[in-house]
Amino acid sequence: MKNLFIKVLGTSLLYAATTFAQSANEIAKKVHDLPSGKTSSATISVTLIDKNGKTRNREIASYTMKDGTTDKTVLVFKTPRDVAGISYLTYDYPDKADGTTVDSDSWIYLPAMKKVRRVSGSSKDDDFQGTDFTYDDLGNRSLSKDNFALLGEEKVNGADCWILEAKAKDAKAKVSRRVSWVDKKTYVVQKGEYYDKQNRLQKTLACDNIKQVNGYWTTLKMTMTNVQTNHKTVYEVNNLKYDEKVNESYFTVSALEREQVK
Amino acid sequence: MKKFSILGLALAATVCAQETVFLGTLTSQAAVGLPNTHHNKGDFLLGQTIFDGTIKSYLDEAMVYVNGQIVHDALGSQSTNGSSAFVADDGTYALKLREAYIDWKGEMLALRVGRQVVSWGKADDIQITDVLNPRDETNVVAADYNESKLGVDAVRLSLLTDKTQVDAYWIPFFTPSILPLAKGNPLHSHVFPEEVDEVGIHYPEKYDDFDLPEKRLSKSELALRASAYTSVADLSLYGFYGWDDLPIIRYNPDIAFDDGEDMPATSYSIDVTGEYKRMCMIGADAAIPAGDFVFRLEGAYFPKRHFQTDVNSQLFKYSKDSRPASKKKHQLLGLAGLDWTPSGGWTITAQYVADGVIDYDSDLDRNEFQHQATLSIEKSILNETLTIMASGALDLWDFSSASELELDYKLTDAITLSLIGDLYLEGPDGKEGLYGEYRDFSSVTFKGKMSF
Repeated sequence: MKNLFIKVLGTSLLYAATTFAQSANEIAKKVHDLPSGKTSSATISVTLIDKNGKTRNREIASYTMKDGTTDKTVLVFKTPRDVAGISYLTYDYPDKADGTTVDSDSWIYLPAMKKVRRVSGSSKDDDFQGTDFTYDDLGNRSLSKDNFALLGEEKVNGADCWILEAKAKDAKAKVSRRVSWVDKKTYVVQKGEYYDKQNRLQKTLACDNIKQVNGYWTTLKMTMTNVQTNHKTVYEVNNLKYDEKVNESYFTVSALEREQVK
Repeated sequence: MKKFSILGLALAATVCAQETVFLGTLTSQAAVGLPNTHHNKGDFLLGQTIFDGTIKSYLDEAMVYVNGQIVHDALGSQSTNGSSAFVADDGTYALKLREAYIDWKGEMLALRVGRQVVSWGKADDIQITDVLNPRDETNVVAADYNESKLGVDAVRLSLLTDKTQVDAYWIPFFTPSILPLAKGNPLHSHVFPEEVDEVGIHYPEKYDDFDLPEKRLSKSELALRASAYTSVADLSLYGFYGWDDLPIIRYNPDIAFDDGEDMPATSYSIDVTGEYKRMCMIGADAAIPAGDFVFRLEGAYFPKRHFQTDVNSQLFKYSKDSRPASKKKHQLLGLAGLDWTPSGGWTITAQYVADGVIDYDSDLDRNEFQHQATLSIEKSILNETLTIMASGALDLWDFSSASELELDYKLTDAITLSLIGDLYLEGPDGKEGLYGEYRDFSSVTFKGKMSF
């Protein structure tokens, strides 16, 4: 859940290509390492739309901070009211030198229990809170999990894009293949496709309102559609601020327990 | 005039920096006894409408937090402990103040003053080190361990760093658990039967009929927790010196004689009184993540804890000096559990709990050693609109059991409808064990909740 929600919007799902001379791996690494600010804060609005058009809304306060090589993220649910106050704290670590991934440290605070609970930091292919996004979709997925290949190029939303394929090395992975259309100039994904274990198209991603905020390219609106269930999730970022002072004590377990994060 | 303007500006600035949040829920629930519940078959065992309101107001580094409830109880089952709730005489209405505190945080120090709920330990729904808060013991139907906790009036001083936390508590006033004293409570006649074998029993009718600790500084409770949060594990150490939240019950035979003590008794009844006893606890816990699993460990040692002696031993030896209502024994409690979150929205939790009394005497009102296993499986489907939860506890000594199946359906983001089935079973040969005594409270509950 590396810099969940914010950094992700700038870099996640991005497997970009810059020139023909670059290999898919080089492109993927450049995209993975795109800058996204030392700190960020934002309000995330998530709208779930079922096949009948019925909508449900979630609002989440998000704070991120880089602490050396560790990416720290705090999320606090504001709505719906029955989950208001539920908070997540995650520390994400870079891959080891040999390319293996390091599990995140993750905690959840449940106001009804008045308790912070340690949770597994390894399950990232689960749906995030009933949305059509997985934790991996929203996080900065480790490069070591995929094999990359360039499939070609195409113009999307008026931008020249590389078509980059990321095939999961894990044969049991819920998403076996991700295909992303990456803007050659900005490294930002313009759209994406996700394939299930049987290599059938499962989800499509549309990216809108792509802007530079404080100099960082960021996608402010993403729509993920599950084409198999006709369920859709619209994910929007509001009040986004990069590199502004964030209360560092928010990124501690005690802050969660004290319900200090607003 | 100018002076007032400046004051007004200052106040306006204060108001601007303040952020206040209100969260409310309205819950309506009713439960009916299952066919195997003898006299409770088809009876309502629960009938409540609860308005729960929380106000959180942030002002810079400080916060005020207030949580309270207004309860209407169709069965008249509400009772009080004298501080957690104000209850109507017939038990049909209750006004509860669960939490009300001021919280302040500085650079490394933090202070919380007022009524607060504190959760200790890594166990789920099992009390090992989680001894700070008393509980509302008036309901076993669709009961929630966390919701049953009552706030304690306390001062908490904390020392905080990035990865460690030390909390010291001073609890000046003892808060006992709430007992099912209301006549309308279905548990009342179970816990406080009016007669056994045609012998009348006189129980306390109000919370202050029990022998409560005096409100003196020397009767305060003290507690300490030290915790560390690392990549390898979360670790905590606990210490508590206070009071047991449940009273030790003394059974006093009341025998009347016609003419002198050599004559046969003409009437026989039992007067019941209760007394709260000091308790001390030293404990530790750990949560260790490993891939899809989180392993949880928790242990506690209660030196010289008072244990209830059984009613027969108290009545049999009815010369006053030879019938102690309790005996002091060392107790050890331990738990090992794991959480498993495989992909697909599943959450699986399993726990093993062992509880032993050292230097056991046969007249204690419990087994020398008791142990149980719990299992909980939860799965959310339909983009988390429907949640299915199945949980159970099996007493590994007498094989009595408690199990619950709950279906929660989100009608909208704000409204959740629930269907809950609770089943309590005795062990083989009618052994009561840990859960068999609740067999007449097996029930099905319908619940609607709106959050706003």
